[in-house]
Amino acid sequence: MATLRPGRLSAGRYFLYVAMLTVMGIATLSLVLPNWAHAVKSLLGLERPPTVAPSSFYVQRIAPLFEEHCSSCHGARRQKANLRLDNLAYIVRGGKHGEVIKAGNLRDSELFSRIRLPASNDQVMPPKSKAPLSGDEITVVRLWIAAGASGVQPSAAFSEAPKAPVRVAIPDIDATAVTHNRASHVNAVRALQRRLLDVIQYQSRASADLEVHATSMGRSFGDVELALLVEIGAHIVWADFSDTAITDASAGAIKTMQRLRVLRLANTRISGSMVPALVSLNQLQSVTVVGTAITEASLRPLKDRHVMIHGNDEMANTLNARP
Amino acid sequence: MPDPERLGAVPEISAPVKVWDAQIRLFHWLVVALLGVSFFTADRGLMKWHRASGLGLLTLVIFRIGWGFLGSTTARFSEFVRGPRQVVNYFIGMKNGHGRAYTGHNPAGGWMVVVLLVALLAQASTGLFANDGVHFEGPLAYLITAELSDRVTKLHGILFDLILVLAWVHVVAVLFYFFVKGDNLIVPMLSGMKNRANVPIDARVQFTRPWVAWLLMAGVAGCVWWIVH
Repeated sequence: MATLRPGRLSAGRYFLYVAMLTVMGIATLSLVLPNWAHAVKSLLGLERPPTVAPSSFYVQRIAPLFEEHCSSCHGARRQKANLRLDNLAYIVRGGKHGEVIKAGNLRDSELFSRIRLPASNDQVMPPKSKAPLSGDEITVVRLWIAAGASGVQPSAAFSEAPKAPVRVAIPDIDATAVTHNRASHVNAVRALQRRLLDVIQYQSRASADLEVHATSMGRSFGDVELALLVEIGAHIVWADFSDTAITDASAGAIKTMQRLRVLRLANTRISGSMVPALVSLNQLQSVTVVGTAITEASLRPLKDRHVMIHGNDEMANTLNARP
Repeated sequence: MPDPERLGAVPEISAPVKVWDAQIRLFHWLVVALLGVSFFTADRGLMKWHRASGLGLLTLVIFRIGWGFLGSTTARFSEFVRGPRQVVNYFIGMKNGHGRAYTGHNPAGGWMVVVLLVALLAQASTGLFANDGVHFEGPLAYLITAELSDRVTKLHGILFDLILVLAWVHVVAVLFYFFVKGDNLIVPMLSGMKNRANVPIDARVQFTRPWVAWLLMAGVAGCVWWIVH
């Protein structure tokens, strides 16, 4: 060791020692730092990725759950704390502090501990700004880790697991189809929308069917205005003329609305003369005649077709009563 | 009575020579300590402490840059940042065994100081805009988009690795002087005194008065506080 005294070492020997120390340092770090250790093992082919089966509990229940709650921070794009949870190989590998899941050992599985922390705790996962896991989701994770955090164990082996939520897929709106379906009446609708503000609208962004909300115009909406709707009558499926000034003179116009399913005529000056027009609406499911002069007897044909009638209480009780 | 050393008097031939002022020595060891604290706190997720440590580093580095213009002779950039030819000549001289002595940083060490200061400044500055994506954001992260903050965070991590490499090179160089050249650079960085034999005979070190350092430090700390609040 005499050569290690100050000024006694040759430059060549010194740098040889430095090179050796550097290699030893890197080797030590590879053993101490989990990510380095995994990278070296993987490079040397000493680490086999876990097997994952499509029918496994992991694929069907755990992977979607991690995708929804964790992958924005621990996924392909971002790896906070060097942790990825979008693939079982990465989950098993863990993050910069080592493994986050210990198969069969819930107490030492940091991931499980973190998702169970109270919302007030700084260490809770997902963090406070994001939606926490539900009780059922925590149960699913608990069962999976307790059973060995396997990638092949089938879902059938987890009979006590809460049922998977039903996911409803909302189809994208086909803008071309919508344009095509509306083409026959789109100009007429636009013109009427300018004239009768807030009265006519499409049932939805994807629909070509129309709704009429004439109530908003009150008594300024009468037979003349209703007559304007004849042009688009075939496309109206829902109409509310309650509290407007329409009379039996609009019967003809209403008759053109052959696809009407819901019609509200409450507090209008209609009478039994309107009933034949209503009877002609074959798709009618509900009609409201509260506050009109329509008589009980005149509504019998609609009742026979099981049309829901909303009339005065007494009338409704009589007509809607089941035998 | 005026301090003869401050007036640039040549000390006796056997006496050690003061070459580093207290500010440089404190800066050096505080940076070492804060780098360790920063690594430990980031690793353990102690982000409040990491923030404090990072802001401390930023303050120190800006102070050191200011001290490089206002400080004592051996602290000044104009004294130790030399051209590439002088750096090459320094290495050639050292290889041939007839390198000359330097009072403060030698030409290679001078550039090491510059590179380390730039790296530390970049590291501390990127930390202001970084985030851990979970609970913590740097004090100025709100000024940029989350995506840009993520990129800055990655850079923050890469810069730390670079600083580790630079620190290793620095340690290797210091130990080279100790084991190969017999020149102990560590003790002077603690005591401020250098062996007379390792200092040029005509060395003149002018030490800046401590109140300048206090004033500079107060100004820098105030600016950093103002920026992050």
